[in-house]
Amino acid sequence: MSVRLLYVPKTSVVHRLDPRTKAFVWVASAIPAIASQSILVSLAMFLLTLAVATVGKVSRQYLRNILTVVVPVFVPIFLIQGLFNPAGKTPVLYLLPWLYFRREGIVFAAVLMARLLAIFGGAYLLTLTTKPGDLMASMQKLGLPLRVAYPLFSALQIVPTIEARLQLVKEAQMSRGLRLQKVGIVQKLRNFIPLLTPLLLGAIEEAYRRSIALEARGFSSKIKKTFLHELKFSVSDLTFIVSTILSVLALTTFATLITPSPNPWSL
Amino acid sequence: MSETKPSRMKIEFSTFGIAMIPLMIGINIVSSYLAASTPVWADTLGSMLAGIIIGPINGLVVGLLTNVFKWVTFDPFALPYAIVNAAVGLIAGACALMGAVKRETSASQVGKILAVGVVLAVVATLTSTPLNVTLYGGSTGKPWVDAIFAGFMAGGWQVFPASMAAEFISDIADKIITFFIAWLIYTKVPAQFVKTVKR
Repeated sequence: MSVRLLYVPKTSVVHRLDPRTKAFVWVASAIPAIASQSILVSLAMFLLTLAVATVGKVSRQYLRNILTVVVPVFVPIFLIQGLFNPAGKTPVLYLLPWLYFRREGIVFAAVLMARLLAIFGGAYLLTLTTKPGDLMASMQKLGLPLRVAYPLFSALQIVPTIEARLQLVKEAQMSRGLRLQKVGIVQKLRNFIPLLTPLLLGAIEEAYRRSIALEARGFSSKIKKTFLHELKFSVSDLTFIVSTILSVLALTTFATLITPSPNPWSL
Repeated sequence: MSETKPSRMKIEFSTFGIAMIPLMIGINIVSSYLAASTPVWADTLGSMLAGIIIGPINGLVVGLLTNVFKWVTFDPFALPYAIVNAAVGLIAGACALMGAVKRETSASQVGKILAVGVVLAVVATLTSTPLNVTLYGGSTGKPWVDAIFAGFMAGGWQVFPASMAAEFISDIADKIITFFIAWLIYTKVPAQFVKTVKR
């Protein structure tokens, strides 16, 4: 239920890469997955990101995220698309006389699932091996204004602390007699006020402190800013980009070739 | 600071306003946790509060970035719905700017809050139905809403009107309750805090 702290601090080739290189791997593997109708292409792209995650020593966390975040949404996709997709015609399995799985819907669901695997695989690869601060610095180098980059990337660090603070407020209010367990819907909604008001007041206070801390570091100064850790493209980044392009091309071609024709997964 | 009133953008994108954004994203996220197993989502509470306390553009940014954040961390489906959350933050802020959200607790004020809740429900329905229909064939992902949707479909309705009606029924409950909670929380914020923000 809680937001995972995504970054896994380890030393590996992938961790040392420039975040822009990893973002490139993500985009390069997502494009064929989105553009192609073939499940095989999407799965090949997913396996590519898994391979890079294994090199980066984060394959365990990578698979855990895929299993706990992406796989659960497969169930509703499968049920809704399989039963209700308007393109569905051919009946496959009858549940009730008017409720049955249709082949076209299941195919659409499968294509969607394979795509989600590839897209999220690449995203997890980036976030698991990159410090949020480095990610923010690299996005700024790519031209994202600081006023957009700061709120987005600091949220990665702030949201878990807010969750922790909610737990504190819960305990404090329970010690004052607030009932939180085994309550009806109305009481649950009422509990929003005693739980979230302290959280909001704390947030306003914290924003005030943070704005002072930001200004102390010249946040709204117009002068071009320097970075504590200067990000640089190295030879390994270049090697990585070239090998990504080559393997994406090779895998896409291979997967397209072994896809039977006519493509049974096209819509 | 000069005597003239600072411009809207100056307030909303002050360093303080920017620093509030990630915190309000956090409020959006924890309030949707608290709403688990109730019929409401309450995932726009932080956007509404940001809209009320700071301003419409800030509410919009909070809504937008909340869903981007959810998308990269735990909810693969959240990204398209950023538009919905952003629109709710924007309109809640605009209504507050027009004076519909005051810190007094009178009957007429409660009426105004309920009216804004209805407006927000309409906004949310108009923005989310096209997404539900094009992305997920009209289903919303909340079981009881999908049951209503399936009921309308079984009654011979087309996908779009059926999805829109189901979405509106759920949104009218969600947005009125959530906005009411947001207003109650807002009335409890000491005046000193709000002055700090609007300075």
